[in-house]
Amino acid sequence: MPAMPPRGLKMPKVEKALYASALKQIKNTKGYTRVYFGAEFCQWRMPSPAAALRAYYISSGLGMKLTLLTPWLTDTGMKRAKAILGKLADAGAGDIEVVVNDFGMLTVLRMDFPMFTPVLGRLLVKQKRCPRVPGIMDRMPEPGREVYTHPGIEDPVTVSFLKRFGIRRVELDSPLQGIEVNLKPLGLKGSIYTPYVYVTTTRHCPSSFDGKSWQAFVGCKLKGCLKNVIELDNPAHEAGILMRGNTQFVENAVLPEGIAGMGIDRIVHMEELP
Amino acid sequence: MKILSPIDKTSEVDLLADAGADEFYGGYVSENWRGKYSMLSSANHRYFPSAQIASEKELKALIKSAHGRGTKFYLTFNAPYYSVEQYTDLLEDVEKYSAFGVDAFIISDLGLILRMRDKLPEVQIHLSTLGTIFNTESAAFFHSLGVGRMVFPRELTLKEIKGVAEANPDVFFDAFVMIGKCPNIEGFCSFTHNSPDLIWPCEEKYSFNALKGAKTAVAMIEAQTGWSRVNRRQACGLCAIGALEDAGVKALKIVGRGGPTAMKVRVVKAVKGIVDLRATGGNGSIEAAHRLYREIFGNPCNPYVCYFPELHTT
Repeated sequence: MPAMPPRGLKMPKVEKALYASALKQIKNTKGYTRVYFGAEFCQWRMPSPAAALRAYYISSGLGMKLTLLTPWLTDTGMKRAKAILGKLADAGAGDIEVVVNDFGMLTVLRMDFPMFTPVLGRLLVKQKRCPRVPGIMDRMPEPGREVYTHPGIEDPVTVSFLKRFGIRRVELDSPLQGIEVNLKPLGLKGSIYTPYVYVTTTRHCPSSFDGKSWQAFVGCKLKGCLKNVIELDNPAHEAGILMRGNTQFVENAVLPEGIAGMGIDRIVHMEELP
Repeated sequence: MKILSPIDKTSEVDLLADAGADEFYGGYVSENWRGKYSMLSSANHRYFPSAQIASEKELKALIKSAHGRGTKFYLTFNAPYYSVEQYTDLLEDVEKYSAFGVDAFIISDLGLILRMRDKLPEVQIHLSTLGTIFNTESAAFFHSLGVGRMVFPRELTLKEIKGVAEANPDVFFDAFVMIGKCPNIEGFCSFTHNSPDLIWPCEEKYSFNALKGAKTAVAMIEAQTGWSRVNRRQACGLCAIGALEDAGVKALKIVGRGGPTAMKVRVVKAVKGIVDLRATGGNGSIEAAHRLYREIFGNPCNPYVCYFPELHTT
């Protein structure tokens, strides 16, 4: 039986968020108070401005807040992202968060869209999530191991700088080797994603390869990412790699113990691979 | 156009400079660092000893030799991130190696850039490809931090490179042209590169299962399998050199820390050959690039290891 907190001590509240890559995934929302909507890894999977606004209205109608996911961006992608943000700004959706996975987008938010709250995305949190990591942990002294167990966003100098851009929240994974972090002294809050742990991403998207070239370089029309998920197995890895579109993940439903004590106050649940 | 070559030892300086290298970059992990953190937590994103300059004495000698040839030497501290404890060691190392004569440090971590700007403002910083400057605004972001030179990610088209370079005219841009193309985006990749056989998770052989789209996933599996059929160390962008110069790229970077000396020399010579051909107004640089590729690697190029796949012709 789990230990109960002393009488009168308030349990820290952990918010539950639903991850939705498409509008149709905003369903079965019972228990959730927030929707994550958009794309973290591919600029061609970003929603249209109209779909982003629709997501805002649907989530608001269900009494939930919206967090818009944005990926790394080329100049073309940046134009598309600005159009989405412009549509939401024009509609007065100033209460949304925007997850940034690109420092260019961070500056755009501060300069052009200060009404939105930026959040540091998983691509800008550099912790190693490779499925080989658990196998090498005991080959390092403790200070070396710490590089792998900590997410790399606890540097007060970096955090102080990022706060000038409005960053108060960081997005974390629960990698196979575990995660140790204490965001509280830094004045940050964390969200932790489950069960799919980001591992790597590419522009050479196998779902967009037509035998000669990768459409992801010029504007993907194949959209194979919407149809296919593959598993990559190798005995050297602690877990199979799951791949959808241009991005690889491992599955790990185990969350670290005591997340609230780490400053993590939100769990982002993915019902399917992003 | 400058040619920026990898280098691992002093004995390579003359060979590579004679071949056409204008600048060098390399890595060194101090004994203190290796003992405290191990090579598995390398300071410079290379986790095997052969990709490191062997000692401080060798580092000093290499810098002296490079300067004697009128070439510059840049030292890599481009791990994707560091622990808070490591910053103290890093700043000490940067200060020490600056005094050795290192001309600039290649870095990607924001915390290290911010500290160097604050504590060692006279030290030159080049942004590693791990900085992921995919757009105009991200390059401007790092430029505002005092970073004057940056390496583009491997995944931009020539048109995209031109757009970013034109919008950031005060930045000196490098682009990769040879060896070591990553299947994934290096700056966003969390795979480890520490296997003793030097085969990384992105290039090893996998067995594939379609979990969704059993029929349509066949093409996806076939495309992904392709990476294990090519040697990504045979990557090439020779035929794009002219277009890169037109796009505003000022230096051609060759991957290959830890590679064999003979291969480094061959590749530098090939790049120099194309640069010279273009400089003298010679035609046929694309044909020359294809011929040089075959001479170096013994097989024709293919789209997987083409740095600028939009130029690839079968």
